[in-house]
Amino acid sequence: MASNAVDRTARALDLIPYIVDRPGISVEELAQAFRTTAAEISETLNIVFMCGLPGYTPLELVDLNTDGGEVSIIDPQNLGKPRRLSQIEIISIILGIENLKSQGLSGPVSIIANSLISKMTALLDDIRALQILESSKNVEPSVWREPIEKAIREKNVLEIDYAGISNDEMIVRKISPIRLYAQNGQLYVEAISQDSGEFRNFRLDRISKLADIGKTSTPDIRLDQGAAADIEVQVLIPKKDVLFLEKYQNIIESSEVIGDMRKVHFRVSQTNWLRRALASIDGDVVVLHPDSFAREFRTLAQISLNAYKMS
Amino acid sequence: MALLATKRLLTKGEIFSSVAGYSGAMDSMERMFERDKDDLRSLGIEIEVAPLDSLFEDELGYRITPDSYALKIPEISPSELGVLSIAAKSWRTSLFSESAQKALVKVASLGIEPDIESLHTSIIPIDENCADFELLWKATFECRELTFEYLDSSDTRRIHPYGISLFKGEWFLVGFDILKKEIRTFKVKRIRALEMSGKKDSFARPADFDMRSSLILTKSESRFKVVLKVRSHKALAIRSGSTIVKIDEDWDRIEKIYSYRGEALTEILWHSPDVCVEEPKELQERIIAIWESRAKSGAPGGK
Repeated sequence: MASNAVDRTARALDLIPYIVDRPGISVEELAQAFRTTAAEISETLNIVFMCGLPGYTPLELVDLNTDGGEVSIIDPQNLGKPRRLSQIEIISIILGIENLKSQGLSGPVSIIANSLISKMTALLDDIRALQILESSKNVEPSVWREPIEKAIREKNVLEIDYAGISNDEMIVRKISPIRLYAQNGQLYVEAISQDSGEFRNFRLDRISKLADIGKTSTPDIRLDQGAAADIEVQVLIPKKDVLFLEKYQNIIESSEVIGDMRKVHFRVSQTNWLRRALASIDGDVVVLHPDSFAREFRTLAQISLNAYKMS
Repeated sequence: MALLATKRLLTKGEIFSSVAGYSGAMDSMERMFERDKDDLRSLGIEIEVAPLDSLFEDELGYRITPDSYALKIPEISPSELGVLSIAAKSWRTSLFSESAQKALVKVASLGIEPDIESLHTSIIPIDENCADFELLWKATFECRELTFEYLDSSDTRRIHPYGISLFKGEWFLVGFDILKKEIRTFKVKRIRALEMSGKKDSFARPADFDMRSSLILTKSESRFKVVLKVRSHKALAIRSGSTIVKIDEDWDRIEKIYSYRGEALTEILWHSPDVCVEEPKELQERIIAIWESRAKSGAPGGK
């Protein structure tokens, strides 16, 4: 990505002490550390070449050497020390450490983390910055995290008992875990299903049993992500239920407000989970299209009422 | 570099004559000087500006002190740098990811080798995103008024921002709604047309303001207990971690504690018709009313 002159100056000021500390580092390694391209680094190094103190004789310029793709700085002039951290940088680190703590740390590491928080907090211009920020419950801890991380490292296959939420049934799956991630406070594992070869995501709190079964042959990976989304569904839901829209925004084709209701147009591959998702809304829900799904939804309402009458 | 190298204040004339790049008419050099000062300040570099002679304030001098420029951090150990390196990976997207990485690069230039291996610790990045964080933070920190539109309404909200929270990977803003005259919580991703107005310190945050107690969602300690009748072998998500008592061949009774009422209602409706509420009665009545309305609604828009 192209950057402006200020960005390049900032990068030049940060590159100089970083290179001083790592003589002989490659342009590619610098690009990785600074999360940019080798071309951007080379362009910034061209600026560094021309930096120096007034007088601008060779003795007053930053002494930069880029022989054979290895970068060294012999004399950084007065730019050998890293710049002070900005307030946002300090806050990013403090919140990052808080997140790390919330994910569970051993005693000794927790002590190190607290000591680092104190040191970073001391760098803030105003301690009130932390009083207006709050970070909590960003990841629910899970007993499955450690065995899954181990299986990812060792490229092992896991067999899991999983409570499927759409069909409400326990399924047994063999999966090759790829990565763990957090979303809306919950931990998920992205994995390749050994049975279908498809990528699947599993919420850790819905796994009831997990066993590492070592290495097995890798299935052929299917990238088509299952059936095509060719069922069109139109519904009316309460306008105030913004949470529903946010949660399912990826499959919503369009929506418009009509009085107190909102008309939402979906395109899905199957309606099983959508029936449940619509059922879980607090308020009126009317299925407009297709007729078969509208009938199915009304039937669900009737048998749900019958269940109460039988109680 | 010249401003950082000097021990005394430099005049504009000295800067123009000694620093490479300044040439041409005085007007254009002045404009270039102002732009360069702005650029340096945008990088967080403080420029000291003071009269050269305390008795005559007509000529100003400029310099950057090494103290204000360089990173000064109390001695940091390889393990602490290791923790910092891991914490910097806490963010998957947004301003924080970029800022944490920049901080890491700076601290990693202090000549310390991070010790990550011995920590046996990893981090799972949280799913956050807050494009407007810098503006929210500045307004909240400096006590400046914010205006924005919220949800589908085009009404402009006027807010005195009191605090910002990242909860379950979502950003929330807590502030005093000037028109509604009460403290409100806003989900940041529902905010549109955000603007900062007003001067610094244009309001005072109440001394007894407490972020945690202001956030409704973080009041997970407020527990909502329900008693449910659940069909045998059904509603697996509800059964997980709950006390189950068998009623007969077809039904079990389950007691479950939810964080709040809405969470209970959503999960119970999701599992209908395999779950019926027994207690509290108020929730049972609400759910029956919802299903009665849906059973009657046949035509579009009808109820």
